[in-house]
Amino acid sequence: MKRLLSLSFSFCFLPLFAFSQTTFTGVIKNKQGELLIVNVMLQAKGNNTIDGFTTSDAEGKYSLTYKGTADTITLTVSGIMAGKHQQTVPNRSRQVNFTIEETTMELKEVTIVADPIRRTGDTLSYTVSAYSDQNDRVIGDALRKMPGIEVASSGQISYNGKNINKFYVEDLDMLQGRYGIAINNISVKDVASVQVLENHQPIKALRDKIFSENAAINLKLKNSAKGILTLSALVGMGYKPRMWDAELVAMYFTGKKQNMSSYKGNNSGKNISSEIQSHYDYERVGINNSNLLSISSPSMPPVAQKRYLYNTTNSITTNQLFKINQDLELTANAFYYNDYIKKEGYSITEQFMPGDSFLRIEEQVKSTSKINNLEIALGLNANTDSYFLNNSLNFKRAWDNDRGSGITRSNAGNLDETMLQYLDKSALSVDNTLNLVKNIKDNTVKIYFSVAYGHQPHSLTITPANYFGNENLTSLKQNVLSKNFASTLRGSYGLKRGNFNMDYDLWGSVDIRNMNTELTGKDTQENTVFSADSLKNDLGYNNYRFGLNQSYSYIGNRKFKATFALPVANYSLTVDDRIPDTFIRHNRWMLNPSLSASYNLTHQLTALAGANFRKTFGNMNDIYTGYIMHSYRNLVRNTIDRLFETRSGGTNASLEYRDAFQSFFLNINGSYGKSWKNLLYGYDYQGIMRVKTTIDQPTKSDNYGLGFTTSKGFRFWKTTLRLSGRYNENRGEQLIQNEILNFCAQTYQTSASVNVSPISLMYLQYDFGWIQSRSLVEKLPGRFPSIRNNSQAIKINLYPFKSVTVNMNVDYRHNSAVSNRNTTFVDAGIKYNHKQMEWELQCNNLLNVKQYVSMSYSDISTYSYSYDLRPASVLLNVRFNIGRDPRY
Amino acid sequence: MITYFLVGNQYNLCMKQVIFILVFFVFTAWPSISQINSSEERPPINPIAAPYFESIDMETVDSGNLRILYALNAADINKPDTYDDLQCLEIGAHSSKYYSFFIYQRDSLASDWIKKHPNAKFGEHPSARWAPKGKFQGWSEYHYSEYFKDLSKKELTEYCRMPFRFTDYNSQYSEPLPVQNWKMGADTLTVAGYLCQQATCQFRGREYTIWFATDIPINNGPWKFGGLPGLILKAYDRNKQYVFECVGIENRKEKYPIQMHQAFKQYKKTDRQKLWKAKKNIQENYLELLRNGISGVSMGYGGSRAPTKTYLYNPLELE
Repeated sequence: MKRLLSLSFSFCFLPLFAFSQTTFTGVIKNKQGELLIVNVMLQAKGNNTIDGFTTSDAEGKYSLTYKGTADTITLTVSGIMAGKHQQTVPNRSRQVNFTIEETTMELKEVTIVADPIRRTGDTLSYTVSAYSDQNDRVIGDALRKMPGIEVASSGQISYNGKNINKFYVEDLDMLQGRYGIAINNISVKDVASVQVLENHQPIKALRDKIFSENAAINLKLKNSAKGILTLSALVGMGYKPRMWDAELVAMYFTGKKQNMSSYKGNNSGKNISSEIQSHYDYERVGINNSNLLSISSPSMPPVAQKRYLYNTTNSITTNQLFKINQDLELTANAFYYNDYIKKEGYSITEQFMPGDSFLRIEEQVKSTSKINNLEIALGLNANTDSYFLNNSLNFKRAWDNDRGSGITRSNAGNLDETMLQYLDKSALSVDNTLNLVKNIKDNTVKIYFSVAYGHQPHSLTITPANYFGNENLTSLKQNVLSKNFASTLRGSYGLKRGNFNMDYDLWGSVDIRNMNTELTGKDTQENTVFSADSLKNDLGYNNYRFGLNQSYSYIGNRKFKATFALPVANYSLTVDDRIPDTFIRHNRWMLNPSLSASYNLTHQLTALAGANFRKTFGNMNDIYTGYIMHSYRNLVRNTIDRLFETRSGGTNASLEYRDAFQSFFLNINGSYGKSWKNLLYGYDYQGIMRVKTTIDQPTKSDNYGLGFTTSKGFRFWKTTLRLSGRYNENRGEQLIQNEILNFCAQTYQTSASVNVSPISLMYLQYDFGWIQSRSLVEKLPGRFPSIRNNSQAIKINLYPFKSVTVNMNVDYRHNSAVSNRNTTFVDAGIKYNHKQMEWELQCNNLLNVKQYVSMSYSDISTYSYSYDLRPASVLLNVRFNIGRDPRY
Repeated sequence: MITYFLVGNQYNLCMKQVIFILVFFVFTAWPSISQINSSEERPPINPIAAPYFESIDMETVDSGNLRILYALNAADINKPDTYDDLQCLEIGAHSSKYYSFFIYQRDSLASDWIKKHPNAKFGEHPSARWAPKGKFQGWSEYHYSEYFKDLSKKELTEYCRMPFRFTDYNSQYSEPLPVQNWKMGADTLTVAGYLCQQATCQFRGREYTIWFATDIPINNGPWKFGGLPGLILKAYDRNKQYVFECVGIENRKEKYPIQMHQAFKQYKKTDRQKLWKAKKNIQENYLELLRNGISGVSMGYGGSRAPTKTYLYNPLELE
C-alpha cells in the first residue's frame, strides 16, 4: 500500500519533475566546419549565475542539463581562440548547434605588481608603473625618476654617470641618437618597462671582442601599444604676449616597422630644438663647421628657457625604420626646423687696464635670429653575430641669420653710438660613412670609409663704422667663405688568442680646407673704401695623415679588463697663404698612447682607471695672418708663423657601485691632467676693439677634478634621492697686458634632489644646487670675493581626483655677486583629463619677474648683464588623442 | 666641524650604550637564565631552502602566449615583499605549468652568477642577495614544487624539490587531473580588473572559495585548481590559511617557450600518498633528521639559541 502510494505520488509529480529538468545538446563548429573544443555555459536569461557548464568533446558535442524554472536560457560558447558567442533559447530540451566565426579574444593586460627594478644578466628592467603617476604623460617624465638614470636639461640620458651609447624602442634604433623625439612623445602608459643594457656593444659581431663601458636603453612597449597607429594633437592659446601652441604627433611601432612623425610649433617659449638634437653619433669624419663670425647679443640667463625665450618655432620631423629582412634594416630621418628668436638685454663689461685705468663698455642690444635648418639622414644597417654593415648618408642645409641693433657706450673715445649688426650664416654639408665588420673564425676584419664636404659662406655687416677709426666709413663688411673636403679610409684586422684581443688598423686621411676672407668698408657714397692685404686671407690648409693603430685588450674571466692602444701616425700639413704668398710644409710624427682598465671587485663594485697622452697641432684658426673681424669689437689675426703645438696627458680613476636590488647607485671619480702649449695667447684693447696677441712662449697648465654622483630609491613613499658633488681646479698662465701671470680657477659645486609620493594623491620634488667659483691671479690683489650661486626648486603635484592634477613650482635663485641677489619664480597649473582629451591651464611667472640680472668677474674684468624675461602669462592647451587605429 | 660632529655623536652613543647595557642587564638577567632550560619558548622554523640547481638546463615542452601571476598570502597586494610567494601559471597549447616565480628568480640569478664566477669559492657567493623575495623564509612544498598539467592526457605531475640535505628525496608523481566538484555562487568580485563569479568546492579535506572570470575562457587556475568555464583569479580555503590572488596577466603577441628543468627527469617516481607522508616527515622532523638521520653531518644547529623544532605540516591537501 505504501509502495503504491509512493508510486502514484511519483507518477503525479513525474511530469512536473520532467518539465523542470531540460537538457540541451548540440555540436559546435566553426564556419569551415571544423569541430571545436570550447567552454559552454548555461545561464537563465538576464541572470549572472552560471547554472551549468561543460566543455565540448573532441567531436564538438556538448550536453547540459538545467534544473531551474526560467523561461528563457542563454547558452554561451567561449574560447580564447574562438571568441564569445551566445544563443538565447526557450527552456525546452532541444538541440542547440553553434556554427561560429572564430575571433581571437583580446585580453586586457594586468600590470604586474612586481619589483620596480629587476635584473637578468647584464639587463636591468625598470617597471614603468612603479615610477610614474598621473602627472606623467611621456616616458621621459618617468625616466627622470628612475634611480641610476639621469636626464640632463639638454635631454642627454646617462646611466650611473655615463652617457648612454644607444637608445632603442623594441630593440630597434630608429632615431639614431635623436632620442628626445621618443622620450618627449611616447606616452608613459604605452611603455611596460625600461631596460638598461649594461656594457652594451651595439655591434653584435664585436661582442666579447671589444668591451663597452657604456649602457644602452631599450623601451619595451605594452602589447596594446604595438602595431597600432597612435595620433595625438595639441592646440593651445595664451596671453601675454599673445601665444599659441600646436602639435600633431603620429607613431607606429612593431618589431619590423616603426615610424614617428611630428609637427610642433609655438611662440610660448617652449624649446623644440633640443628634442631633435642628436645625443650620440656614429664615427664619421668631421668637417670644419665653426662659426668664426658672431653678433654681440645678450647672454642667455641660467634659468629655464621657457622664462626668457621669445620664439616663433615650427618644426617637422619624420623618422622611418623598415626591416627589409631578418638582418637588414633601413632608417630614414628628416628634420626641418624653423625659428625666429628675439632677445633683449643690457650688459656692462669692465676691463682693468695697466695703471688702475679701466675700459668700460655698455651695450643695450635687441637681436633677432632666424633659423632655417634642414637635415636628411639615410641609414642601412645589418647587424648579425658574424658581420656588421652600416652605411649612413647625411645631408644638412642651414639658412640662418642674426640681426642686432643697440646702443654701445664706452669711456674709450666717449663712444655713444647705435650699432646695427647683421650676420648671414648659411651652411651646407654632406657626408657618407661606410662601416663593415666581418668575423672570420676568431678574427675580425673591419673596413671603414668616410667622406664629407662642407661649404660655409658667411658675412657680417656693421653700421656705422666710425668707431673703427675712419670718419668716412659708414659700414664694415666681413666675408668669410670656407670650404672643406675630408675623407678617411681604414682597414683593420683583429685577432683573438685566448683572453687577448689584438687589433691593428692601417689608415690614411686627407683634410683639404680653403678659406677666403675679406674685410671691406663703405663710405657715404657706397664706395668700397679700403681692402688692404692685411684684411684679407686666401688660405689653403691641407692636412694628410696616415698611421697604424694598434690596440691590445685583455678580457679575463669577466673580472678584469684592460686595453692598451698605441697609435702611430704621420701628420703632414701644408699651409698655402696666398696673399703674402708663402707656402709652408710641416711634418710631424705622433704617438698617442692610452691605457684603460677595469676590475670587478664584487658583482656590484667596479674600479676603473685610465691614462692617455696626446699631441695636437692646432687648426686653421691658429694659422691665418690677415685680420678677421669676428664680431664688431673683436679683431683677430695670428702674428707668429709657427705651428701651434699642444701636448697633453691625463689620468682618471673611478669607482662604480650599482645594486639594482637596493636601488643604489654610486660613482666616485677623479682626474688629473697636464698640458703643454708652445704658444701663449692674450688680448689687447684698441679702443673698444679687442685684438688677439700671441707670444712665442711655451706654457703649462694643470687641472684636477674630483666628483661623485649617487642615487638611491626607497620603497618607502616611492622615494628617490640623488646627491652629487664636484671640485675642479685649473692652474696655468695667462697673458695679461703683455705680462705672463699665474692664475688658478676653482669651482665647487654640489646638488641634491629628492622626490617622494607620501600618499598616492601627492608628489613632491625638491632640488637644490650650489656652486661657488673663484679665480685668482698672481700679483693682483684679490679684488673680489668668490661668487656663490645657489638655486632651490620645489615642485608639488596634487591629484585630488583621478582626472585632475594640480601642480605648482617655486624656483628660487641666489647670486652673491649682484645687488639684486634673489630671484623667485612661481608657476602653477591644472590639468584635467576627460576621456581622450587633456586640458591644461598653465600660469607662468606669477610674480611677474621682468628681468634676470647676473654678474661674473675675474680679477681683471667684470661682466654684468640683465636679460628681459617673459612676463606673467596664462596658456591653455588641449591635447587629444585623435585615435588609435589597429588596422594600420 | 665634521670632526666635532663625529666626536659629539660618538660620545652620545657611548653614553646611551652604557645606560642601555646596564638597564638591559638588570631587567633581562633573570628571565634569560631561566630561558636556557625552557626550550619550548623558541619559535619554530621552516626547513632550510632547497639548494640551487647546479645548472639551469631547461627543455622546452610547450609554448604559449598567456602568463598569469598570483600572489600567495599577500599582506598588501601592492607590495611583493609582503607576499609569501609570487607564483606563475603558464598556459600552453596542450599543457600548463605552475611554479614559484620568486624561486625561479633566485635560481636564475644564482646560476647566472655561478656561470660568470666559475672559480668562486664557497662563501664568496652573495647568497644573501639571491634570497627569494617575499616574507616567507625557508622551504615549503608550494615554493619548491612545480606542477605540470597535461591537458590532453588529463594528467597532473608534481615535481617536488626537497629542502637542504634532502635532495636525494626529490620526487615526482602523476595523478589524473584533479576534478573539483564546483558549486556555483551568485556573488561577483572584481579581481585584477576582471569581473569574477564565485564558486565553492570541497577538495581533499578543505573547503575552498574561488573567483573565476568568464571573460578569460580558460579552465585553469593556481595550483591544482581548474575545471571552471573561466580562469580562476582568486582562491582561498575557509580559514584563509592559503590565499592565491592574481596580480598580473601578460598576453604576449609572440609565443614564449614553456620549459621544464632537465633535472626533474631524474626525480624518483612515487605516488601522491607516499610523497605526502615523506613531506610530512621531513617537515615535522627536519631538525632531528638533520642531526641524526642523514649522513651524520652536524649542521651546527646546537647551542642555546638554536631552533629546536619546525612548524607542523599544514598542507593544502589534508588527505
